[in-house]
Amino acid sequence: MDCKEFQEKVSAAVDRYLRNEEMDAFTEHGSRCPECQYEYEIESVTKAVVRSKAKLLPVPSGLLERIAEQINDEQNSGFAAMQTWLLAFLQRPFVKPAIVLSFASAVVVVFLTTGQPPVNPAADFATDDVIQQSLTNYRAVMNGDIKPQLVSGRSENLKSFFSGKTDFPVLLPTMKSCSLVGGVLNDHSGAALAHVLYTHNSNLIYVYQACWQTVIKGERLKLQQQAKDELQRTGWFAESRPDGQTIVLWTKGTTLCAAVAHMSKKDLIACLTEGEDSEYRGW
Amino acid sequence: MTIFGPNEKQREFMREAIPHMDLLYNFGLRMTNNTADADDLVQDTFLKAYRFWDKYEKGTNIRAWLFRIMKNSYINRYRKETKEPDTVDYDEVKNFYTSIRDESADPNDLQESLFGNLLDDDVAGAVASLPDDFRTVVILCDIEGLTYEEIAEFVDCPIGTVRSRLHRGRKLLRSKLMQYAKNRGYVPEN
Repeated sequence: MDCKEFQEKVSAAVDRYLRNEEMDAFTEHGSRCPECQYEYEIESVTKAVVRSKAKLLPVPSGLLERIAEQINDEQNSGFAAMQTWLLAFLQRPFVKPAIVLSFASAVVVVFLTTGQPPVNPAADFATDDVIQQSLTNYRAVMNGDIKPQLVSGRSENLKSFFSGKTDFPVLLPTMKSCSLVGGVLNDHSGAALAHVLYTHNSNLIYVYQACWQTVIKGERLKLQQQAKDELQRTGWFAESRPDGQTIVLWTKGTTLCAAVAHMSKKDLIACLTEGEDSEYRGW
Repeated sequence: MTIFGPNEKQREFMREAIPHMDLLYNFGLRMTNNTADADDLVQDTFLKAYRFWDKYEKGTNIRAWLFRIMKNSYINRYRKETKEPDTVDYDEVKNFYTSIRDESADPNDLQESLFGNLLDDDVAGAVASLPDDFRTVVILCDIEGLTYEEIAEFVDCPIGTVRSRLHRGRKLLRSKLMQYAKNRGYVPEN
């Protein structure tokens, strides 16, 4: 064995990975070469010091319970999310000015007066249809029945909130004269859904997001063929509803978005198309 | 202590993942050198793991799967820019070592003669000062006692890389330890 080979094997020798013959050759070289032998010895000592002084510590008490609780909350996210949301809402100074938003105050009032557990967007509805879910959720948000799980006007916070939790990139487009309000995450039959809320002047814009592939497949989430065709052809599909709402669907990559607002088709599309797209990729 | 949640998924997850909390906690602790951060990292990791539980292939190495989630969380939150470590004076260590070596009859005493009676915190600090890549393998090998193969799987690199990172990491460590020993007056300044 020469010095080069010896040096390459020092760690393996220290950690006892060398086979008998290899170790013999290793030791033999060491006995002839003080430089190499030093490397072996000093590394052994270094390892020994680490082993004796940096012991494995027990997991602190309470950590396990906290994790179990967290997972429990995750599982029963409705009620726990509401409580956490309300606490966060009341504690965040930068959210207080947002109380002027009709949405936010309606929500607080509803909570304080009815104390009802929130309705999860889309989760409780028998419908798999994306448009129906979006419209229903929008109405629920307007009624204050749905509250954001994260209230924040800063896209970085929402990016973190959504990070890694969906199988599609959650889009946080910066829309012309719109402010972010917050977001909700949940799923429908196992398909991840993201919901983002914006305000535009005094209007609320609700954006439903899902994995476009999942919708195309049509098993867990459905969309009428006409809408699918148009989306695939032009990337957009818009519909004015009789009650003054507009719903606009669009796709970007693997994300399908559906925006609902009490605005004209023209105005809503203008909001959505003007301003830069901010895309955040999940896991 | 009621640990187990009400539904089957929670129970299954707790059963499978909790036994590895020890290893993950200690890894987090040695990487951040801070119990609060380690706590946060572990909670974050387990929550993510639970959310992605259906993405875990049953029967495959769950420890490696959990570890990779934690590593990503660590990188996202704590990783500083990797820079080349300061140039170290290896000769200093060698000279001192050579001078005391012949005096120590028992190789086991060498540890103490060389670095003195360093405190646990000194060693923890020295480990924490290593660049992330080196620190990871030193922790996994010397503190957690994982095999090269296990380390290679966790870190997702060839075994040769594990070996060379260990070698370089321990090399850096020796001069850090020497520095601590000097600061404590165990080793003559010259």
